[in-house]
Amino acid sequence: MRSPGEDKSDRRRRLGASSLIVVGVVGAASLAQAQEEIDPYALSPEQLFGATVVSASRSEENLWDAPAAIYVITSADIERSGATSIPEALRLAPGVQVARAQNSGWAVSVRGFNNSLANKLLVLIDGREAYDPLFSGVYWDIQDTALEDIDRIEVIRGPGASLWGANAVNGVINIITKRSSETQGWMASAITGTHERAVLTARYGGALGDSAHWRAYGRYVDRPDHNTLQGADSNGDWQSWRGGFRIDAEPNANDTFTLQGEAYHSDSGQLRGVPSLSAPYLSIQRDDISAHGGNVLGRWGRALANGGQVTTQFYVDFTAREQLALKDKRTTADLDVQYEFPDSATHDLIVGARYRYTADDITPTAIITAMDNSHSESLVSAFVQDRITLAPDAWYLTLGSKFDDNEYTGFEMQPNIRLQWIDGERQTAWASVSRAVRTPSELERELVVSAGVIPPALIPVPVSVELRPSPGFESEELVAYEIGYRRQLTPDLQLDLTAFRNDYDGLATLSLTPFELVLSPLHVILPIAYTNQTEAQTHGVEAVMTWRASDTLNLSATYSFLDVELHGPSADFAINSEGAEDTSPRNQANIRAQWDVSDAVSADMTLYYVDALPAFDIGSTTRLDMRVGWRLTEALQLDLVGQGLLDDGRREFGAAADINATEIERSVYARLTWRTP
Amino acid sequence: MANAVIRATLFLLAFAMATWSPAHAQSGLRLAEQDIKAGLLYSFLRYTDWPNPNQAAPVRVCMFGRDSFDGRLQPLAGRTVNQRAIEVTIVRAPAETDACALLFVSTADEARWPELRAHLAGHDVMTVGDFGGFAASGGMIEFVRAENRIGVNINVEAVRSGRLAVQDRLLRLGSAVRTAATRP
Repeated sequence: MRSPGEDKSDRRRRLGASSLIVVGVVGAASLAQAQEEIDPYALSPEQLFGATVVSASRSEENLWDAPAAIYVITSADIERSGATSIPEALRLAPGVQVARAQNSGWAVSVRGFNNSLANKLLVLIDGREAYDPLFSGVYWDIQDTALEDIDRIEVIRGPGASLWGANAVNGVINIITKRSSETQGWMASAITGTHERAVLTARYGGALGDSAHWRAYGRYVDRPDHNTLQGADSNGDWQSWRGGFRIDAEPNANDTFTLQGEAYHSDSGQLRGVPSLSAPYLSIQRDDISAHGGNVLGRWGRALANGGQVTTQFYVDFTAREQLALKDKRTTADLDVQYEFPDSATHDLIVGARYRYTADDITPTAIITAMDNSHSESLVSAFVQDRITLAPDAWYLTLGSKFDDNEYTGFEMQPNIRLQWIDGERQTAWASVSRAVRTPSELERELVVSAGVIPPALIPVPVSVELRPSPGFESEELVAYEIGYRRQLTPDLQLDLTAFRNDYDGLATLSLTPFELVLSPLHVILPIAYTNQTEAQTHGVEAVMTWRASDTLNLSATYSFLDVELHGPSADFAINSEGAEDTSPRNQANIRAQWDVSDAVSADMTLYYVDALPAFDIGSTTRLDMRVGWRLTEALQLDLVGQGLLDDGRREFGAAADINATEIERSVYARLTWRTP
Repeated sequence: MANAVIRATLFLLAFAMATWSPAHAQSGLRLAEQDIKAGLLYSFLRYTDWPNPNQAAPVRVCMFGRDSFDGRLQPLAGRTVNQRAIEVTIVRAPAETDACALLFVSTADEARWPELRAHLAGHDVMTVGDFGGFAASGGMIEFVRAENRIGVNINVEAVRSGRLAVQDRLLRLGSAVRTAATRP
């Protein structure tokens, strides 16, 4: 084993050699660049070691032959897109609907049913579930890890992977951070601009002995509110901080360990209508949203002598949220064990089992109360997946299923069958049929939500509309049919096409139940129950084209079409009623250019098109983002970014009459990044 | 209005920077990661001596499991090393690796490595891996990404046990790594 001292001198020697060589090859390089194509086989090892890498990450290559609709956003994509938060970066992926509803609130969905509480999507951060079991949705304001630490974001459209956890109905967003060995030394970045008052990140990584690395980071974010249509400009001001660490160790050839953790706090705000049984029946109040939490995760991978691999993961997550409507504290513990059998000629078999325990503690508010203030539930699940080689280098069949046992609906089976054809590593086609369910959340089974009070008029007493716990509410069910085709047209031109049809049954609806009369204070309750009365069909197409036009210019384009047809009750207040068809855009597209102008300067341009959302009376929008990056020295990089440059601002989600309706304004910022060379 | 002026100025400044290339900028080589690695594989062949070479047979470069070079390694097939033609193939089973001069294992096949290593023990096959811990676990050469350059970790012990002679010119450019102790 080498000591840290040896390591350093080795590195110094290598860097010293490379920089000497760079001087030597300048002539050859400019000659080669003039000819556009550089023949790597004509270069000396010194030249090759000194060369700068211009291509995308290798994770992308690995996913090339995945029989699923998958899109990878690399760390370079994130940096170059100018995104300063995870949901903003997700705009790059096809088939994903991203709309910023408020300064700290995003509606994000895959293949439709978009909503700020979108509940058919699984978001994982390094294997930890980021959705809140209270309503099966994601609070994006607390998923704000340092973008500089992210290695890649894998966006999987469709329920396909029987490997993923609960809630992976319409898609999975898998956020993977870098290994500690890739984040050694110092990194500090500062962002400031019109809508980023300050985003400050600092990170340091070091080695622990011979075979382990660590990093620790801290981040502070201060974002002034965008312009709300109601004129109250500062309710959405958003401040948050976050700190965390990660340790990766490979003590021997067979074991890998990861231990990571973080803590965070976020303060933001909005307006909130609070109903009451006496005049004025509804008061608009400033709503301070305060959230904090933390988590610790450990993972152990072990390669067995027989060629198999066991991965064990355990995490504990604590999260607390306080706002006018909701006060909830939650602790989750999750143990996951997975075993990959040794490869055989015809089978690639993986099995896994998982146990999740989650408990929350609700403090009743004027709006949300629970049947039991303390609630806990266990989830037991298992999966098995086998990739069978039908004909080597040609036909593969993947069979898998996930089996869940949950508290509300008991046993659920989510099977998946996939057939794939691979032709000479240059093209692949696949088709799949899968079933997935969205199991009831606490919202539907445990909570009483006061939706509003109708002042006395025709009925001479106040009428309180209440969402009631609905023991009869069952899982929403999806059967998905997908086909995909990927082709490397030339070494530099790649095409990826997907088409799908989703059949949903038993989607959530709201139904009136018999009214109740309460004497003190005198009022009528109009109880509403969750039912499963909507059927839906969606279908769509997603296309991605990437073209490495030259060594210094990458172009890509994506297009997504989505058609949603809901068949359910027509009542206006029904969620998933036909009026909800238009909350996701029919057409979306983006075009992206990444240009390395010179060694020191890079420039990017991304044009996003999002079709109209008639449900909210929002017209189609075209958004232009630009970035110019300038490497000032080996260690220092300056970026100037403009977002939404074509107009002053646009409402992206929600009705104009909504008290928190927000116009997301043009944003311009500067980012300075310092890395120890 | 004042804001608009500031924004316009910022962008003018940005584009001025974009079009002005500082004199001290290094104009180094810029290549796709796969091309750099492909070129280096060829260097490994050129600067290594195998024991008892069979001059009549081609030099086999094998990729395990898949073409993780997206076809970019294919041009190597037209070249020669020490007057021997080079052949590029994909192998899928450990037993097929015996005839390889060089075996490349991508990160996607990291799980297969222990099995391959066991099979290749004592063989004169140069093993090149694309994932962390490869050299420390007994692989000969491991590609590492240092910022935006490619480097290598070389396990000299493993190279020796394969009876390969890697020239100093290559060894100098890599970091030496020794096999980590395996727990019993």
